Amino acid sequence: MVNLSVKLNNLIFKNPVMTASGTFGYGIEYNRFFDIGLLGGIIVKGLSLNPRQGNPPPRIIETPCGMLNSIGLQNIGYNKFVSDILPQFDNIDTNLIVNIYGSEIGEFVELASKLNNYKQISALEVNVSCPNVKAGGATFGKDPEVIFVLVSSIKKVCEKPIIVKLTPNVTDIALIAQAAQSAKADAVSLINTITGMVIDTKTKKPFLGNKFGGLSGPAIYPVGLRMVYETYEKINIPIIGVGGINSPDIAIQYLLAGASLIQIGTANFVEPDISLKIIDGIMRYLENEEIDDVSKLVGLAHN
Amino acid sequence: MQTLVLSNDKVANDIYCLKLQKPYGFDYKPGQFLMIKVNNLNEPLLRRPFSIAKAVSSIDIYYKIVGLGTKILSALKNGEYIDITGPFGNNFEIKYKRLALVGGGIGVAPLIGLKNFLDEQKIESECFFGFNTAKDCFVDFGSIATIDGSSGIKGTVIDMLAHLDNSYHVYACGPNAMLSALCKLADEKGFSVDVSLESNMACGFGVCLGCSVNTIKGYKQVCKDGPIFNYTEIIW
Repeated sequence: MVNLSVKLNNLIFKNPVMTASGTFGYGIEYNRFFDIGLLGGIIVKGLSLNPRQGNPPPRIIETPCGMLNSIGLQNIGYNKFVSDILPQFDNIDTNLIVNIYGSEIGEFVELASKLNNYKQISALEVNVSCPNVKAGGATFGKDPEVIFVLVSSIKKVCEKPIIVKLTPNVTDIALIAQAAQSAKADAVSLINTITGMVIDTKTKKPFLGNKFGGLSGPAIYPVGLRMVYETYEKINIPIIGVGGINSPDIAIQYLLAGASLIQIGTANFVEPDISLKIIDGIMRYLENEEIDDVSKLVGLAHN
Repeated sequence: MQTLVLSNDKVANDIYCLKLQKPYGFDYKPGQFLMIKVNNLNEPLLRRPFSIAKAVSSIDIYYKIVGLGTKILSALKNGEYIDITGPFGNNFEIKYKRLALVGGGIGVAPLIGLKNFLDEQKIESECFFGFNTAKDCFVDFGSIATIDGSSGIKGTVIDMLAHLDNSYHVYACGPNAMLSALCKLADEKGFSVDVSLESNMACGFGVCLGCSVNTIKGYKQVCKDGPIFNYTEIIW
């Protein structure tokens, strides 16, 4: 029998497969396709203290083997989230992780301290990497000193594990990961989308309403994989690998590169039950390779 | 869900009718749409939305070749399988008024499903469809207008609507130019209009938030809050 479960501090994930923020709604939308309780964890759409409208349309466009989005963190806000969404998770047997966003440090801290009170929430993922919002977001994620102050401040008010989601739009992502580790982050997740753009040759203007967007999908997996590999050699806290995973093979590559857990993103749009197929594929791989514990795969690509 | 292709025939210039085996328990309301993955490769990556024209013995979809996805779709042969999700979206609400269906080009497709439904319910309706030329026309009912006059009256679909007044409710789908001309006429004549909108979308069920449309109540999602909206809601 193969063990797929993974531990992160006191949290137990029944398998290493989670769904990435912004690609899985608030989770319940996927119940029509499969039992979301089978997942290792669910990371819900980025939440802010106040509701956000998001960016003007058009917001998405397909690119070769990928897509570009500029949603701009549209979300229902803290109050509605805790009143309407959280109670629905009372009986769902998976780790609910809330991705949080603020336009300044104080907002992140206030949100984290409020969410700390809810037993349905297993951990927080701090979004310091959204490329589509002007204040905060990715600008936080590019400065190691700001990351240190932000994460330390959140750790003071929140007892739940803190995962820091990193942007790939930096020169040295491992340096940012080290800053998160110094501030006592419990894990880092990487990568968020890569900034890009498309120009409409008919209008001769940027296609997206927000001009720039974040590139995701299988096109970006080699980039995410390389960054996980590099970061693994520089930090000791667990890495959650994300970026372009849409098959068991790519998921396994991320584990081999050093990710303890992985997140499925854009592939959820295309194949709503892809996560189950990936869990199953990882299980078969381990059986074929006669490896009895998924944790034994982590980092095997390194010497 | 893997679904059997029953036929996939060219019915007009660049326009095809795809018939799929209707899955057990498939429940559809006129106005709803499907998401189709045109192949099982990474390219094109996303599913494509298609309105459902009929779901009685088979699921019928009319589509126009506009890009890579629909080009690949047009090469499908009967006996092959294709992956669908859905049906998604809201549906046309039947109003207790005189009903007119107004479509332009491939935008006629969702109205075919509505017409079938109204006929089944023995509810009377008038149909007005506009195309560029006779070669683009893929319906065999309703009043037709073509820009070049090669079928029906010469002109646009709007030219056939002079008699509409406030006793009418219109269901419309078509290019933006047609919809804005229709809404201008609606403001003058006092009839009400529900429009079926089109948008790029990644998921089809309200999670990607990519298909936002600007309304008087803020952004709404075409896939989940629509695709059918009252025209007065939309900020054009």
